[in-house]
Amino acid sequence: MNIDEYIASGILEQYVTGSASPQEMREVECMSHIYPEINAEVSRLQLAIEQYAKSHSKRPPAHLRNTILEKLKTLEDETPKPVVEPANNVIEFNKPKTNTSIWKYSAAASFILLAVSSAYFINNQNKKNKEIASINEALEERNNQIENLSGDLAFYSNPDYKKIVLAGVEEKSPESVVTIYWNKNKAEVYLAVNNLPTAIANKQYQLWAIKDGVPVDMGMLPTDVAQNSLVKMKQIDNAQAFAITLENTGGVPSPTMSEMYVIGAL
Amino acid sequence: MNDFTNIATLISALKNKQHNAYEYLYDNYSEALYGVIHKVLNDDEQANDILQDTIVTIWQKIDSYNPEKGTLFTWMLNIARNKAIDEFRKNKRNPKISIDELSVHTLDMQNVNNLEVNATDVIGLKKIVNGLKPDLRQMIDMHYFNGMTHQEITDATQMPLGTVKTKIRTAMMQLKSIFEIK
Repeated sequence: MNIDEYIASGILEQYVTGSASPQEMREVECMSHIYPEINAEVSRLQLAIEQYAKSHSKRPPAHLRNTILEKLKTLEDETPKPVVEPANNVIEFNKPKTNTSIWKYSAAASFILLAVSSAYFINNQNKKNKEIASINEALEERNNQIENLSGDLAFYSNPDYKKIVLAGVEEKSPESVVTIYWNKNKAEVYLAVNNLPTAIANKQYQLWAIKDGVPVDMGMLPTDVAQNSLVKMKQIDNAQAFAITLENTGGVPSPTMSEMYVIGAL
Repeated sequence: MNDFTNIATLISALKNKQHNAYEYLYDNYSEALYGVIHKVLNDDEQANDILQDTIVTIWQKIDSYNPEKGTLFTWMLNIARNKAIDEFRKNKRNPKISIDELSVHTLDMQNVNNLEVNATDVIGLKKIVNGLKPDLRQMIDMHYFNGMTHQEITDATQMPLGTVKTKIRTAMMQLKSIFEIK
């Protein structure tokens, strides 16, 4: 990735002067999280703008000090102090949208359907055997679906998998969202495409992990990847961020900065 | 007695709503915050209100301050600046600002020499006036104090977007060198 290009793009200036969009703010925070050079430049620019602001210092009217500090005292009296600090180290894990009871009911309904059908067709055994077979098949398929969903449910609710949301890069594809599920202990990385533009001909999305400031190839996304289905990617046990770029089919050894679609830091 | 010159001590005391921490904050930061607010609004009455509003917001929101995203000072400056810009825009009742409506007026050396004593960092200001060309200063002021986007500055000055971007970036680079930030 061309860090100098990024620094020179003017986005950092917008960030420190507070004129970047919320999406750009997140992006810069992400990038400065990953790249020490960007982080250092953001700090320098912040310091410069702080000094600039400070050089315009003006003493407020003397009476204001008392007015404002008294105002804070009244706020203090109104607000009860929280007894326990809310823990902010809990990683939120979105409850999977699948509802097991629906599947139970679906399964039950399928069974009832089978039972009723069987009773109805008992007199027309020969004629209806085929139909029973097909119903059985449907039931089997439904049961498989339930089994798969239970597997997914176990996966999504497994606390060993950390969920990292990669958000769309403002100038490229702000609507894009990809979710990474990462089991650090097992070094397993799964990816679910929530929203990503269809790759153009001869192009393919490539996943990168950023480990100590260096992008590591994590493999290519299949071109026909279904929305929200899990794709197993290459293994990694340590990374600070993940990003996806659109590259020539088959992938490239290092990512093309200008083709970054989504990024997310830990 | 707390040593509030240690920023971590100050932040944790602010989070605990320690009154003396807010006294310290007022005594050490109010001039800078007021300076920015006043520069945006150019009106004493409004600036007084916005300074109070800013300090109250700092008091209320201090738990959401994240040191990883920048210094406490930057965080407070952004609160002050955003509130002042909102107020400025509200008063103008017109989100499109034309250049002659801007409260930003470019200082020249004479202004600086005639500045009242209450501009506490006259030396810093002199440094800027000496170091930063008026057109670059105007750019950075429109951008920072008036919260104008690159596009809005382009519209107001009739300069090409690329020129505006370059000028702002150059101004920031020069500020870094003026303040000897390495």
